[in-house]
Amino acid sequence: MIFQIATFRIKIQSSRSSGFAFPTSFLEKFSKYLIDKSRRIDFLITVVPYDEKIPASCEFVRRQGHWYHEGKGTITIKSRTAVARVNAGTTEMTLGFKYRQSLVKNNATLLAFVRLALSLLTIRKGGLPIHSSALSLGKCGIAFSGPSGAGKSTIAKMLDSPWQLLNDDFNIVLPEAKNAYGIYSTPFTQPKTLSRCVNRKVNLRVIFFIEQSSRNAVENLLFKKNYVLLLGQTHIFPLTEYFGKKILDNAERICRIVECKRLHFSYDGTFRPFIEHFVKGLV
Amino acid sequence: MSYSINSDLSFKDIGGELFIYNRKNSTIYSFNGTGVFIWNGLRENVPVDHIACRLCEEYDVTAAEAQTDVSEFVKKISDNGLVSFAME
Repeated sequence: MIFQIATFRIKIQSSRSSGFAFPTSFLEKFSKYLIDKSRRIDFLITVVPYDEKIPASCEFVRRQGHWYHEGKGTITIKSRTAVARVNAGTTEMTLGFKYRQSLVKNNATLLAFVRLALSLLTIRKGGLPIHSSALSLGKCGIAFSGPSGAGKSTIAKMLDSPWQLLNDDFNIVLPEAKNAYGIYSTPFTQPKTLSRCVNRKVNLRVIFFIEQSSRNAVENLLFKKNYVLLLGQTHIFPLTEYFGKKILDNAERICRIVECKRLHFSYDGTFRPFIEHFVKGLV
Repeated sequence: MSYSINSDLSFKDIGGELFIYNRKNSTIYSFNGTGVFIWNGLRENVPVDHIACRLCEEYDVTAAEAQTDVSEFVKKISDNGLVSFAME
């Protein structure tokens, strides 16, 4: 199965010995992103049985229930239920599940691997995966970023048509030609919300760091504050030294090019006209 | 007394301010000029007492103030896992 998220083409396959069939829920989740075939594959994920012989180059880290990776070209990941091998040079990932049954019932582990693969590709290409609710009005893309419970999904609900929702939790920001960034949809959200999401890219005009308030207001922040807030919403760990440095560099460039602001928003029904007035000023 | 720097950290200097990113838990820290001064001392394995002396020379503070400031700073970054006490 090949699917495309942002500009990346990711192939997931099962090894002959795995007997693994992709759960229907997984296929449904990625249905908007599936493509027939592609000459170019950016990332290959192979699902293998847990006990299949793992290549010697794969180093395991015994930290039950945690992701971990290390080494220069090679990243190794282990969780309680799965083992994966990512080769950062050839972009290949081997994924082994210890409990096949649990995977069929719950594909969270497989989704986590895909999300991680996507995040690493994004960082390598100069972008950042951002914990955000991204919406577009016409050609204008806006990311509402903040920690869990800040109101990302609520804002997505308040801004219905003609606003288009890319994703209410996890989006990809990638550099475009010249000094601009695009924001892309991903499949990582609740199935109910995903049915509303559109699979597209828009130009990223503003990143808002949201905060619930009794009033609506846009506040300019110092560069360093924006920088820290943006980095706080990347949620990729643990990382190798290479990716750690890339994240710091990529976030700096994004903060310099894309407008970043604090948004105080209210639930009292005045938010929508307020934000639409703001967007009108951008166009 | 000297400290070793956590190997899971990445650094970025932007306009004299140091940003430190802990790759293990995705946490970001920022240090101002004085913080950077103390941090650089720790990175060079300068004992904490000597860093306080240097701070006195560089900034307009008394020895006692410098000692307190450095100790508090080191405790804070140690509690946050950025450095750990290095056995001689």
